[in-house]
Amino acid sequence: MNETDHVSEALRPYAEGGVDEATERRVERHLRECDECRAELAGVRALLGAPPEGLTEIERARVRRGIADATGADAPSRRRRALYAALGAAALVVIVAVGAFYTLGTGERGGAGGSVAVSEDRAEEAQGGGQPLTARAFGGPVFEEDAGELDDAALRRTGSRGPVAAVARSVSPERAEEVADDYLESLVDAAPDPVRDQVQTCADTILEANEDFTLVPAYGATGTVADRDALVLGFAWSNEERGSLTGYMVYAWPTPAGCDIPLSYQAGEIPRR
Amino acid sequence: MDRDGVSDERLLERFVSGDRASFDELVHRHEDRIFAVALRITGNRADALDATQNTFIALFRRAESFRGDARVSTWLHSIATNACRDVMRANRRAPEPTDEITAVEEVADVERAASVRVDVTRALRALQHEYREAVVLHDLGGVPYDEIAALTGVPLGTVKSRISRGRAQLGRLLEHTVEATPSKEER
Repeated sequence: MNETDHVSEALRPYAEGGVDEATERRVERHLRECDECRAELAGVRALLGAPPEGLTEIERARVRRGIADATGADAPSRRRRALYAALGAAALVVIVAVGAFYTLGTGERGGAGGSVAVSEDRAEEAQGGGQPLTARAFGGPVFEEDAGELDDAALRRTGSRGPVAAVARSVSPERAEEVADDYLESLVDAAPDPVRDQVQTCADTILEANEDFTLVPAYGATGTVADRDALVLGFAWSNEERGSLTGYMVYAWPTPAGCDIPLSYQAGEIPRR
Repeated sequence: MDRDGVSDERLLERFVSGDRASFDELVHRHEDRIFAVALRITGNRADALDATQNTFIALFRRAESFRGDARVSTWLHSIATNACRDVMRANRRAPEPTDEITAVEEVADVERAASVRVDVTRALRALQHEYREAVVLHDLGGVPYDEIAALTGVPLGTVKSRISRGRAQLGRLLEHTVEATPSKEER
């Protein structure tokens, strides 16, 4: 068989729809007669049609850190400064003053010096001011599947309408204490290796800081906040006055830095149905 | 300094004359595509991550030796190809075709779209390394035939036949897992 009769070299542009009509006719005429080229085209289409395999944000950070280490740059800390600069410029370093949430959340630990919290009504601005916040869910009692990318508004929705709300509604106040440990355990199990320990540590930190309240870990996710790797955890909570679980708190901490100063903190009421 | 819309080649020049941020921009532009190619060639994320990292470290160290007779993206692909070989050799994870063909069959009845990429990755692992490398570089990386010949050091005709055979094997392996796309002449 004469190799030059095949249309191999035209198959990639053909599959992408980038050939002129004459070439298209030639390719299609040939494909009708040639099993080999039809199989080739199937291979090309499989490669081009497969969803793009990008880096996850954790992997991206790992690669960039590896490059930075080997080439003498301190990339992560520069990005972090850029984050604060962006947030500061947009006047978005809002220490949340939503009453109980402040005490519950970062107030005692981070204090005014370090905690970065974007209140709900400013969150829209945050998207314009800095990078969008994205996250990838890895687990939780109602969030078993990879939820894909979540933008900033979607992340808040994970509190008010998403998995946190679902957990809040499905767990009666009497059972809240009892399921909290199980839910945390399932979250830790579902967490990807690089953040597993941090999930446990951060959840413990929050649970301990709020021991007067009932907190139920609802979901976990990894993602980025303004180019910074972040671990996201969502909690449903209640206090004695409220009885049922009616509040949400969603934290994003830098990974792998620890659980002291969140990059972002969102909290609010879960609307009644 | 604004770096949007600046060509890769210009960024590399700026980096060579001391602008570190231009190097970072090159990393940001190309890391996903290099990773995608490395993942297809190595067949697993751990090796692909190492290869991606090593590719850019090599770019950093060898930037001054860039001749300018090819595009930076092609050059990166050639560095990545070698990085994949090194990583696979170091980790002794040469793909085992027979196992992987079984794996393809096992997932044949999975219908979800997400499974397609798993199938492609697995099917690719069933190919001989030389075939996989050529197909991935050309079809995924967009590297022209002659540049693949130059960077892998084999004759053009060999590159053509590797790409043809690799694609056809891939197509046949995936026949029952990827939905047939209606071809244009059938409309």
